[in-house]
Amino acid sequence: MIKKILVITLIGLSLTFFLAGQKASGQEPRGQMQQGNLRRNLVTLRALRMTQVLELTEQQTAVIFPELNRAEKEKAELQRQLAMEIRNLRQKIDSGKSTDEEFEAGVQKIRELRHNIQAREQAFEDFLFSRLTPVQKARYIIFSLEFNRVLMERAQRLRQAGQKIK
Amino acid sequence: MKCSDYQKLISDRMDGTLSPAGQKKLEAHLKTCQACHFYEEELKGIEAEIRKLPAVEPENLAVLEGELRERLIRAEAESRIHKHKSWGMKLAPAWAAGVFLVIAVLYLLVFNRPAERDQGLDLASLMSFEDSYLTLTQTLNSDESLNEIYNEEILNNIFEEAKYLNLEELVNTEDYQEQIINNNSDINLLIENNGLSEGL
Repeated sequence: MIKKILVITLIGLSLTFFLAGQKASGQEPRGQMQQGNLRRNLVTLRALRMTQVLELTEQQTAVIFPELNRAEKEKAELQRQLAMEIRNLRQKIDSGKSTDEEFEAGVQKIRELRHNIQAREQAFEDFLFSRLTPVQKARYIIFSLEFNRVLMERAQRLRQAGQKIK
Repeated sequence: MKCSDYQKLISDRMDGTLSPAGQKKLEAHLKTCQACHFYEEELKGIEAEIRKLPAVEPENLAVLEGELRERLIRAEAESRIHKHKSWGMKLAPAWAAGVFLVIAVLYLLVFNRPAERDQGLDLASLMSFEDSYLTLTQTLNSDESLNEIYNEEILNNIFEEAKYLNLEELVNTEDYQEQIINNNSDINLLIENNGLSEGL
């Protein structure tokens, strides 16, 4: 049963990203599309590992995964908008043609998006913690730290290797 | 899986990149395979020795190399003078060269070792997946080749986990298959264009 919930949730999540990707493929640069794929894969991997590390019961899986799915859809969209706003801000700085008001609006938008992402992440974590045992909560914190650390270290190593080649 | 595959997993575990599924597989194998168990002990011993070494700057490495070269030359000169001496003395240059090689390999291992845990990474940011994701995208930003290779690694991990959890139906969806085909052709193209290695 746990497997069934997992598969349904993760395929549902993939489908959402897939459809969003197809819809946006005509409008967004290739880099954005790649990052969409990357995010979806990271979220899937994280969910698979989290299930194992936390040893979720069937009951927990049944309530946590639908909420995880909802939170992820919202956060992915916010992250997409944030990446776009950061790109716009870079272009504004590079062009040197933007007014103070335009800069101010860009900065405000980025701050707002970042705040919304953090708030949504916090809301999901509150929900999750209300469903986990103390041991599971402790495991979740250590799991998150380890998972995120490995992601960052891999990226840094890859970037360093890429720079050496160039 | 062969022992050589498990030895790769041992190496991944020491780098901290082995998945929980891989951990379980490896643990099970180590219980039954003495050769792999010794291999892991040996690696741990080498790592412990490396950790005892002082921090090394590239300029120090150059000084060390110079010193070792000098010793090698001295040893060669001495061996010419004392040709009549024992076999041990005759082999001095070989010994010196061997020592130099061992130290050079150890230093290379130090340089190529993954960064110390959490070093340079902000702990508060690491607790948040979203903060980490944002930093990650900015680190890989605008570099298609890095994005492709990184994504390939993540895809491989998903396949490994899905296989372990008997969730093959998850990765058999049309989208995943399409991603694999696209990713493979992209990576082949990148390797052709940039000489990048998949093994990163």
